[in-house]
Amino acid sequence: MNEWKMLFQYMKRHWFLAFMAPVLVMIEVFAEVAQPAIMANIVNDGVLGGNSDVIYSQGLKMIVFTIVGAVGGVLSIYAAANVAYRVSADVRRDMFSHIHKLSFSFVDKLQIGSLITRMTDDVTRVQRVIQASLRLLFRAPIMFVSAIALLLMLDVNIAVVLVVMVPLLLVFIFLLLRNTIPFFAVVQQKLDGLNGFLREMLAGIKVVKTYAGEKSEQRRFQGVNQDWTSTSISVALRTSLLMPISALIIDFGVISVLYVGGYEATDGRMNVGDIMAATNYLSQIMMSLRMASHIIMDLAQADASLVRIAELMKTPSEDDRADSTVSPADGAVVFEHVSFGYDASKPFIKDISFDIPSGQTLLLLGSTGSGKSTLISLLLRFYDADSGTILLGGKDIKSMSRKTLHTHVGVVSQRAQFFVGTIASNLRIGKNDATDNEMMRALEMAQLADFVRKVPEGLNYPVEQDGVNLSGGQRQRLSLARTLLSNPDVLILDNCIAAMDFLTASKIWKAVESLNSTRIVIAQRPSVACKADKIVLLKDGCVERFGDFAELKDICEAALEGKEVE
Amino acid sequence: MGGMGKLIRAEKHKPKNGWETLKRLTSYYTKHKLTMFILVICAAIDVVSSIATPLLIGGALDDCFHVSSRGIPFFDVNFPLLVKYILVLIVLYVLSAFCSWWREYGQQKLSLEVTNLLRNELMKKMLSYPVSYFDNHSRGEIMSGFTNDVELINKGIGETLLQMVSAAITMVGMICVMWNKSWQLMLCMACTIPLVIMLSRIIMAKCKSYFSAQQKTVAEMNGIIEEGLNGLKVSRAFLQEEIQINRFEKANKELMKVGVKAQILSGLIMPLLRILDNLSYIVIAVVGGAMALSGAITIGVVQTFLLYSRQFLRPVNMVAMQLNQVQSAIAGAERIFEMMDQAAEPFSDDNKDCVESSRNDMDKTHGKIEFRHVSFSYIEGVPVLQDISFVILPNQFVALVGQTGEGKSTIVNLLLRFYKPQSGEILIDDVNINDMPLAELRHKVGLVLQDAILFSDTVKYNIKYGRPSASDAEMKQAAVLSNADKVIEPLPEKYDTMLSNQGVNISQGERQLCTIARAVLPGAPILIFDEATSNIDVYTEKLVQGAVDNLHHKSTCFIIAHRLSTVQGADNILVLAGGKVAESGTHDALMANEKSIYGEIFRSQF
Repeated sequence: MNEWKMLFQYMKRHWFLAFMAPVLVMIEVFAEVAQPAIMANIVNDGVLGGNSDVIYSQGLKMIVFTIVGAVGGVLSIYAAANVAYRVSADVRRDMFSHIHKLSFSFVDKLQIGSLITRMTDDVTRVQRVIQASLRLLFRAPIMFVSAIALLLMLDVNIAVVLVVMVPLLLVFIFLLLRNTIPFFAVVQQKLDGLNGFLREMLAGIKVVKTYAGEKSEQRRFQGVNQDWTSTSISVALRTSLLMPISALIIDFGVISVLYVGGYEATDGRMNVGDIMAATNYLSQIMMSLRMASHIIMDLAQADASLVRIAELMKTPSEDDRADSTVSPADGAVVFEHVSFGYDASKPFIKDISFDIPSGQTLLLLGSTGSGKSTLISLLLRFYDADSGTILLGGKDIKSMSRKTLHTHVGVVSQRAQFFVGTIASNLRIGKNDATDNEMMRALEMAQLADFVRKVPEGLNYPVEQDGVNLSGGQRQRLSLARTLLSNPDVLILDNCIAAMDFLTASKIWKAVESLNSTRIVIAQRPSVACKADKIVLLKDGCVERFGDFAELKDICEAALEGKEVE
Repeated sequence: MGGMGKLIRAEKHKPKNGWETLKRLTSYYTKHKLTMFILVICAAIDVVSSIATPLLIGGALDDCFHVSSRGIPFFDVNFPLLVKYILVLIVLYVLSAFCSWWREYGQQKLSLEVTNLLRNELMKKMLSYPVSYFDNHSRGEIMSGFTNDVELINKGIGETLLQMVSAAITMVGMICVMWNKSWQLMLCMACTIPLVIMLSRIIMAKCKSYFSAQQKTVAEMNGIIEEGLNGLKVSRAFLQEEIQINRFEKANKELMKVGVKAQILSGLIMPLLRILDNLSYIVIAVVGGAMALSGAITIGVVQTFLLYSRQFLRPVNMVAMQLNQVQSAIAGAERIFEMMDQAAEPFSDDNKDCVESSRNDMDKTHGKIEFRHVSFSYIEGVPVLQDISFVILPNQFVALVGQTGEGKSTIVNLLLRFYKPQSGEILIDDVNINDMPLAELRHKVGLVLQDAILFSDTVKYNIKYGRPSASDAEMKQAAVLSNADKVIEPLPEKYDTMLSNQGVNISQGERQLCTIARAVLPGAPILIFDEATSNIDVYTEKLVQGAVDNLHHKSTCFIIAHRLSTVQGADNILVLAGGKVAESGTHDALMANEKSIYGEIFRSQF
């Protein structure tokens, strides 16, 4: 229920509109339920009483009521839509900026794909429910109560009909909802299964084709597809019962009113107009209950979304000493007994110590899963070490503001990420006010200048979503240029050189070596080992070997010969 | 789904060839003729009873209630007749409840079954498409066809069309009855219809432009969200948070503004229609009352008209409002059919027989590969391969090296006929691959890719993927041969270990070894390793190397690599440069030439 509390907090900011929406709905509903009573007057006093003035005056009254109701209706929609869109805009804004403050250990746990769905689909669902329920949540009970009240005012004896009918309806709707709502989650789950299958098949299409797996994929797809369809059909079976059965119950009410009305009319306690009005009220009662059951189903579906939103918002943001003035003296990096685990109970990095003086090159070696990239994430404070200290330029990185840290440490990661725009706009992410000359210089170092000179747009060459219009190598080099432009004291090359061909890689290396910055190179094999001042060999999260190039020469030679490093 | 995809989607909202598409879509429904027939019958009964019941109630009031001699408010009631009326009503109510349930349930079931069939057919088609189709269409786009577009059809066609049919029957029926009772009053009421249609048209047109504006803003905002979150590490590392948040906030605010406008406008429809509804109610009350007063019609007739007035306009409103939904459903169907109508890979239909025959022929094939003057480009005017020729003899170990972008992987794409060369021919065992059934061609080749792709199932399922009929012993043998056995045995459930989420629960290297076992199991005479060691660590690379050694001389091994350590033992090394085979020879021979490209690449390896 915490998630609803959170939603309530957001709605409180727009309390006036949130309050007005149901009030206006009330006006709308009252105007509506008054209609049958006026109608009854027209029939009883006007038509049967032979008084045409009554017909006209009551007719006018009806028109006025209708217009009042319509105005109330439109205004309530205005208020409800405003609240819904404002709240969802607020929620989205807070989510977006909160995600930008999250520690990456949480980002990884929640996964980017899921964060995106939370910000899009989930918020939209909540928004729809707010809008609908601000109107309907109040409309239904008001309509229900007022229809019953007016019915009783018409004739108390009809209460007998209500006493049987209303509980019957309530019990039926309750049972139906209780049997239906759990299925919504199952349908969603089956749909996720279908989507998962599609994603996997599309990713592996070459494999399917090579091994002629089309037939078996088709069979598997039919399985998940049928799964989803069958569950949806069983939900349909339940929801389709709502209308006919509740209508049937009300219809029996109408028949009873007709019969009871007969006796009442004989005694002069009820006349024909009243009976007509009573049947109208009965259908209003049914409509209100049906509306209510729809809202409950909507709320049940929104609850899951709200839980996912609240889960994200509850995730603590990383701590930052934004006002700290501590700044590193140079690019020296020291790890002192650093331990860390993605899962708190399972340390992944164990008691790591090494150091690299400013301006030198450190080679971080190790197989996949040995913890190389994790060390970099720790240095960038995407995660915080569980124990031990990391020093940059002689200062504990925890004492610096993140801003300072990130200005001094630049990383080129294995998977380059870009934003839709141009080469220039993506380079400026590294340095907001970079001139064309500066950008060309960086591109030169990254061996991408030739390409930029070749294309007619030059630096304004467009970069499409995820940089799909660039080749893998170009993406990597653009990402390198971007980091070089930011001129960091510590330059980290995370597995990016290894994937380039040798000629390009060696040219890039020459350029990088000419910089004053400390260089940390991450690789699975010591292809650039000969240029490193110091080498760290990681294995299973521990430092296996650490030393000068000369001390670890055997590793390099062994690796170049293709032997396993033991 | 990508943000861009959504943007494009929002723009092509309108169907291009509506009638054709609708006709084709209808053919899926007519497969369920009996269900459709029952549905229409149910709908008709439902409609008839919804027309008849107000009539009966009105009749009951007229026939059974007479003002008593004591005067108003006393009535004489004819109870036996009233009971008869009530009995008829009960029968009608029960019947209509049953029919409306069946109508509703049957309709949903039919829709779901039709869309199920659509998805299955779409998948069948998809699987027959060449790899180039998947290279040219984003995953989001394809997935959206399977889910969003099919859902549009489910919502738009199934529900709406049947509702429109019942609405039409209702209206015709009601008009007949009302005309019969009092044509004057009927004409009174009919006056409101053009008003309703006009009003909803005007508002709808306005709404549409606002809704498409809203959809565009949503697409834009989702694009920013996707991009922003996918690039989260970059924007954090480069301190771009502020810029990202501001950019997002702009789109977010815009959406709020446009969204509220669209909502209010569409919210106007219902109250305005209700005013019209009530106006017609009042007109009937006043006119009907006056007519009853003058004795032209009875009170019962007025009551009937009043009950009808609500029901009469509802179908009109509904049809007007749902036309939009039908339109986007047809647009969705059009996209699906477009996806279905691509050309399948040639020879892809004759799979079954060929698979069997090629298995029997497996002993006879040897694994000779020959490229004769092959030229190819993905984009016209940008040649990738130019007049390439080479021969690989059976059971040779041949390596293909070259810089990034020289077209190494393209050679594999051509050899497996994922793409077709613009000129030249490719032969396997002296047969042009174009003359070979696709399944036979692909059964001759075992492929190991750079990305170790496995499916979410057991290790066993994955290794047997290329030959599901293989025995466990054969599987084990393939695993041992490819060194995968060494990493599978230590797994908790060995070969029965479930791989979750494309196998992320085992390491990249372990996955790669499994894909080698998968390639080895069918016993193909040719094995291709396309950059298979690029993403793995030294230890796994040793195991892969061992696998290659095991397979050497058992089948043709064709290894593509940019890491030269893997290729030094090759019988022949082909060096690809400038779209041609620039050099070839053994490692020693190539190194002997001082100026060779191979030598330059090798020496630059630090």
